[in-house]
Amino acid sequence: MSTVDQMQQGLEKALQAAAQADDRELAGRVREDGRRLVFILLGLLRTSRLHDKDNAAFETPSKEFATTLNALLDLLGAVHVVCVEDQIYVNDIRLRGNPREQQMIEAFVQELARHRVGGISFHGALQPDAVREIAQAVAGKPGDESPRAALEHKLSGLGDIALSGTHRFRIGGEPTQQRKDYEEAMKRGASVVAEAVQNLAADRIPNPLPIRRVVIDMVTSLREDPVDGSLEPFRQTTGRAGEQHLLSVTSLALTIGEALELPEGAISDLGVAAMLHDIGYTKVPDRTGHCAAGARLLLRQRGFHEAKIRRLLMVLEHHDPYAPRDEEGTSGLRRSERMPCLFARILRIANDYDLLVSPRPGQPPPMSPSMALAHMWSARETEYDPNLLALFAQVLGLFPPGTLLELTDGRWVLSVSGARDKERFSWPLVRVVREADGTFSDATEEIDLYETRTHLRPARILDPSKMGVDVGKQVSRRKARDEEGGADEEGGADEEGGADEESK
Amino acid sequence: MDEQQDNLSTATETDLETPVLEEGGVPPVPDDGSVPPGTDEGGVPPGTDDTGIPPPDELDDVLSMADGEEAQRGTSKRHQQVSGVLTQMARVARSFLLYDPRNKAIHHFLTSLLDNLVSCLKDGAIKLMVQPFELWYEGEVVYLNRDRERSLAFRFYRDGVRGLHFLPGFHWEELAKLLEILSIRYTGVHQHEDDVVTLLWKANFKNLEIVAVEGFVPEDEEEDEEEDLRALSLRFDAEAGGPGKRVGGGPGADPEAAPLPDDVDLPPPHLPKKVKPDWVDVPVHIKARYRSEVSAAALPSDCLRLVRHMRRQLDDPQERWKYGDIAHLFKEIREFLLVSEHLGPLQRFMDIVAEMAKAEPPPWDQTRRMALDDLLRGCGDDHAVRKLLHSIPVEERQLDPELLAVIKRACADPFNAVLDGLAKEHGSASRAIGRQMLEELGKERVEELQQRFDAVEGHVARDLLRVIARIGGEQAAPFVARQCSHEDIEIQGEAMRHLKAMPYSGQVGRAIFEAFKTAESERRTALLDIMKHTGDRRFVDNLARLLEKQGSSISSSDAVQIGRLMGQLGGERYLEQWQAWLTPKGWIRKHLGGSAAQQIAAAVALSEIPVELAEKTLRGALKVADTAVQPFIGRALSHHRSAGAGKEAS
Repeated sequence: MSTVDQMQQGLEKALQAAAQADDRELAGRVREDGRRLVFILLGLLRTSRLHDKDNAAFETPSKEFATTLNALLDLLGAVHVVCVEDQIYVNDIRLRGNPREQQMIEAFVQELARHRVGGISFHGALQPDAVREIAQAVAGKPGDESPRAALEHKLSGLGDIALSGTHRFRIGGEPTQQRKDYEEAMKRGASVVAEAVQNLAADRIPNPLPIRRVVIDMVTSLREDPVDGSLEPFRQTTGRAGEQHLLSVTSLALTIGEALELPEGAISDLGVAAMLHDIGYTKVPDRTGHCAAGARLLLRQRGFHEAKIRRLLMVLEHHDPYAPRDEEGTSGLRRSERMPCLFARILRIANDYDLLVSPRPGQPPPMSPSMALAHMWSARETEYDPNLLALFAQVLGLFPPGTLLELTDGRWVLSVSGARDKERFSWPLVRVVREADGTFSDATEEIDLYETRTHLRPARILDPSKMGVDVGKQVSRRKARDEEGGADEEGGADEEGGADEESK
Repeated sequence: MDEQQDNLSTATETDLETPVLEEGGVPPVPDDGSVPPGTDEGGVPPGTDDTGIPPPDELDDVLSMADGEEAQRGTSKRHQQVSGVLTQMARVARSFLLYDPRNKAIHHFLTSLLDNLVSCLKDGAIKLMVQPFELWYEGEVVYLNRDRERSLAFRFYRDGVRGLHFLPGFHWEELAKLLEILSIRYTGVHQHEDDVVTLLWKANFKNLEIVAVEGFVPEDEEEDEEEDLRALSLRFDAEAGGPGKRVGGGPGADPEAAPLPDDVDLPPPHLPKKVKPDWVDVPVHIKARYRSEVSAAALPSDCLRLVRHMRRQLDDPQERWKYGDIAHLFKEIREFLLVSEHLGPLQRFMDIVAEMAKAEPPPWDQTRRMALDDLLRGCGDDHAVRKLLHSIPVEERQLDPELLAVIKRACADPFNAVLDGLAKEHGSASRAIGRQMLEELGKERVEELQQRFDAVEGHVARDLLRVIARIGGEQAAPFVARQCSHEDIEIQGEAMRHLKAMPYSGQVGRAIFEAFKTAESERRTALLDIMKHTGDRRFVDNLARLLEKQGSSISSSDAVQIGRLMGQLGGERYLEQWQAWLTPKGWIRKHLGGSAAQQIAAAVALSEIPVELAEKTLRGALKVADTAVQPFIGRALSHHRSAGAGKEAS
């Protein structure tokens, strides 16, 4: 087959796949209702400049706006109208229009920009009267000093509305604070996961696209500093333990996916699936039923996409053991068909590791990462895929990041690196958290145990909860200090990181 | 509104692929019913212009109609070259709105684009800046289209692409990937899983650097934060596609509630033993095997795995799922599997669904059986057969027995289903396989095929005729022979191509001769060739009578062809007759009788008979023939001598 034939076949398949993945009905409805919403609001703004708010001219459009908004809220949960340059998106779907409609879109953007507003989010239904008030407020004179704050003040009490600043497209390669990327991605991840959980719990249609964007950012930042992924179980990116579990498991799963050198498409699919793997708990509080419940929630998404198929499989199989058990209806299947799918096998490792090492409110203290890995290692071949666990161990090392160790000289240190390579599997980079004399340190001193292995080595693994060390806090400090160090290097600032003394 | 999708859905209607029969020649038909070697479907040899594609000059017209691109731009030759490539790229990406991706026209566009791009990159990288309606290259606008819906620049810009750097190593696979992304954007399909930024990230280009927006951000972050503080409002996290900290909502929702409990998945797994982990190498081939589990090739088996899960859920009395709630998933999977490369998984899918449909439905889902039957029928309806046929790879020529098995199993009337599918199919491979299926399914239904043939036209009729010719045997031969007189010249050609391989009879001969009498000059050659192939000497008598009655209306070149056949087929048996035709008539015996065509044919016929008398007759005729006929007799004489010399030598 010629090169061009191959191109043609590839193009045909890509177009077919795209068409199969499309939920045209949903996209069409959001686009149509979104456009109606924007144009009615623009009409109301213009009417507000001509008439008093009690004028009958407001009646029909206000009702229509409220009805349209309520329909969208039923469909999507929150409705986000976001202006970016001369374009408007309603929950990720760009409004298209003919040249005249484009003028109206741009006029709407300008109306909001007067208040330094670039987006309105509606989190709840509105009454027609409130719609009039909103129109009056937006059409009114902007505040002098802080127009957006002034508008927000006017809107308070009218409904569950949030305003955002104006936006522009961000260009790839723009100078960004690289060292913050992972935490920024995780913060966005926390926000996106929270919204996804809320929406799915309310029986709304899954929207994987915002999650995928965050996952891609996470993957990009993990490539810069892979240790971040294995430290996530100790962080408190979100205050909610359930959502933190989703984030931690996602980070760990991506770490394994990277070690396996999964292609870009698959690794982002893995991340999206991991973010949603326990979504069934929003419907069923017990461990046995949440997989099916989660699949049922995700099944509300229409359109065929390989990511959806693999996501559903992962949700259904992520607690299954590696070694297949004989179950009803599986007798005729090959072994590979009876063992969990790849994503589920990866997730099983990430999930159990997080369950073993991350603290949960009201629960007994978690296990040391080193102990957790050792326990899991005993279940290779039975519970866990041995090759995937081996890859995970290659990343984590004998003393995974977050492990508290006592050295032969009596100092306490925290492991802050993975295995790095075969030679250094048992010799991580560590930071001193307590001196030999019992003084807690600010964890700035870093030791490479591989370099010191002849005279300084781990003596024993410590239980942080018994030793009064908050690993999560130390991990956050490590990051903060790294960033300061980075800023110092770049900007030449001379301010020292003033870490608190930690008393036992 | 989605006019682009509407356009896409009608793409096959405008297919440009209209292969025609090569004029004059009748290439042999291979036994497998495939296209003869060296010809395209329907007999068009490669390299001819008659491929159904407008010639290159017209191609530009087809694609440039109202597309809004301004003429090739740039002051230098290099700028103009880049401009040409970009204009072409825009047209190719848009062409998927008009044409089926496997159309020959698309093939032509892609070949041309690839050649031009490769040639352009030989002179160095192409670094483009993207503006809303323009693409800039080294300080000049090299592409300009102000039509938002058609402009390549606007597509890039709107999707967040701000710069494109094509590097000299840019490979065709990368071009294909870029065109895939562009085409998806042009067709207006909304992707719930991906947007252009995620698609570009996944594509992982090595020789194409893309400066793309990565979502959107506050215009002025510092000022924005101050505003936030003043307003004590919740911050907006636009990159997540919506507000950040303010979550959920909707009617009756409490944004502060946490629907995911804190004790998710607890208690932790109980793993009593500890074993010291060690570094264990995972060989490269093992990693590759794992990666293959999430490749496109593994997706069909993942679908089946999911279907089995769904089946268990549907039968679980604890879960009490209803099929209707997840029917869309089964339909989506069925549609995905309904392609020729997934026939095995499709069969297994049908097995599972059939088993489900056969089982007694549970009390909570009594309507399940009907819906499952409906799902199964959808594996063999018109749409399904069409989809299966259409998905056959362009290089495929042999019918996969599994495809036939699927069709037989899934369709209530496979024969008519394939007939209907073939009627709508344009792809040459699909049609070849469709014909082979009909050959399998229609052995006992040749009459129905003939009836259907009479009701259709164009390539469908040609396909049916080919099937009839191949399976119809003796009974169908006269029918095929009659099509040599069909009003459609291409069907004439199709019939002629097959006649040689079909059983011969007097009926066939009559039909061939009838066709010969009315055929255009080019077709006569082919028909004479068939007559020769039959070996039936009755053709000689008929042709002689035709020359005697209508000789004046037969051209010299036709007469030559007729004469050659008469000589080859009739041999010495007709020597006297041809001699008589070339013997001067009248009392002075200085003029030949009959028409010029008659004289020429007789001369050529004699030249094919290796006897002395034939040469003598030719020599005599040469002296008395009209000046218009003399050259033909001279050539016949020369041919006879050289043939005779050849014989002596041999």
